[in-house]
Amino acid sequence: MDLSGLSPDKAPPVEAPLALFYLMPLFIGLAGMVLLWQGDQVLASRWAPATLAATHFIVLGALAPVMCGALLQISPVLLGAPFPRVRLIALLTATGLGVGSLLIGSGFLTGLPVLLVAGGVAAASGLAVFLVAAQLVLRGAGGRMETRWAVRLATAALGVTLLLGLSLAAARMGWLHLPQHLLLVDTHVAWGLGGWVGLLLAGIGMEIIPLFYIAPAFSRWIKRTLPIAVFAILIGLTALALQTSASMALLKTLMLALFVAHLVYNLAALAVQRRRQRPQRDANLWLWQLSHVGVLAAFVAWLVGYSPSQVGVLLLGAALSFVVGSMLKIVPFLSWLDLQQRRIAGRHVKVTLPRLRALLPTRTANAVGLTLAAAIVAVAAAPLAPLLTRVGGLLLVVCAVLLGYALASAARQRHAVIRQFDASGPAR
Amino acid sequence: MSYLEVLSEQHRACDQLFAGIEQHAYKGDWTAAASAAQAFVNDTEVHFAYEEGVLFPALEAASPNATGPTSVMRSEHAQMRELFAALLAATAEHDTEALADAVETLLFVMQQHNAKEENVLYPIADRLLPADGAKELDSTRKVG
Repeated sequence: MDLSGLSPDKAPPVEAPLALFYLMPLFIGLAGMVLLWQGDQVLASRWAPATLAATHFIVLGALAPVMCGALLQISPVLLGAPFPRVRLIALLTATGLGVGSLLIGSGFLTGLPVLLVAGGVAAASGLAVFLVAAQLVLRGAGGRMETRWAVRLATAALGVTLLLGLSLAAARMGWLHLPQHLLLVDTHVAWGLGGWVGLLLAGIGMEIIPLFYIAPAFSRWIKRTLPIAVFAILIGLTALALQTSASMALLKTLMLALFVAHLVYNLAALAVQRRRQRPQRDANLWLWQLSHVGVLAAFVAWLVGYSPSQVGVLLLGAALSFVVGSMLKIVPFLSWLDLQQRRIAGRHVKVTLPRLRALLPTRTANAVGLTLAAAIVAVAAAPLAPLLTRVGGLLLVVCAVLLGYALASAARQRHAVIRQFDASGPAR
Repeated sequence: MSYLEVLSEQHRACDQLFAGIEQHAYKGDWTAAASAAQAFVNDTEVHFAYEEGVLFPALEAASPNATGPTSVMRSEHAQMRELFAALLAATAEHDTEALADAVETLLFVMQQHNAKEENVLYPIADRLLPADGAKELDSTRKVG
């Protein structure tokens, strides 16, 4: 690590993360439409085409781009290592994930494996660009060892998820014979949700939760142990799944260990948030809390034998809550920071910047959070009343429209101020 | 004590003062909120003065690559100073909305600035600069 990561020319331009963030409302909306269209068919089985389409819209179309975008933004701050050619990487990753998720979702919905493969290739190309860049960045990274390891292992988990996903798509085309097909699907899900999503959200969460709310730091023990423990469990699961006669009892034990590891982080996060010094509760905070409680609920549901699709709904809901909550906080700040930097660079001292809470009003943030929370609760409660799946779908569509409106409104205000800068003349 | 330890401890102490502003305002005690805001600004200015007057010049002298990064840190200090003014005005005028805006913006600027210093700049200062500087800073703090 050296000081160059802090140089003025290395700060990522706001357009890079935003290009990835803009995919989120689109794909939350598409997932909502699938729920609205297919209703209780979606949760009837985890193998239902609509379930697989909605899951990939959420994981690959909505969550993955925002997580990659957040990493582009946060890497210089936490690791002292900015991504090289960050605009290009953001554009290629966003295009690959956007096109890939659309094709994969359509592939499941239409039953055409060729779309799955084409989508897999598109998404894999986008993610490969990101992963190669991330490995280069991590090589020269500084910052705290535990954050570096969490990011390193989370991105490695993304690589494994991708390889398993491509193998499963190839098996659907008949190009590859996978004897333990069902177990490998479980392994793909475990690496994706438990590894990539879980580790990155935990690794970043353990840094930003204390910063955003002036709360005590997470214990070093959790920070150091969690990423390594989760990764080791995932390797154990994979090794077992690849055997021709895997012991189901051992598999279940390893799944339990994976859940417990994530539960430890989520309970610690709730405890840290309870001990925060900042008194207010905003949409960001309660969405994060909902996320931690969601993981706890998923664990209980799994223990008492709920269907895998119900457990999946709770886990995806938890991930969405954390990521949407973070976005509601980060987008106005990044927009403001971009304007502030342009204002200083151009010496446009007479131009007044919009307030943070004008860029994304509290009311809008609350509406996004409430519709998302209501959608998750509705879909999770769908076994009680099948209509609730469609209600949840409709709420997700509304949430997507509100989130899209919030992002568009922040962008519109930012561009209006940039036009004012341009009108106020060149820098003196 | 290293630069990382002493200066990070100063960040945490300023964070505590900062949180106090909101806590008092939340309870409607604007007098306490205003004095917490002033105490926060005063202590943060002492921290900035050390960095700008001692640490950054020492780093610039020790490494030719340090000038760009220290100029970024100085510019972020300037951004925070602008926000200090908004913070003090909001507590003086008992303006809840303006305070919420100032606090939210300042918190973000401050925390990402502190994270860069603690994750990158201070560990490098510990590597490049003689340890006496950090010890001296620590002893000054204890005397003060």
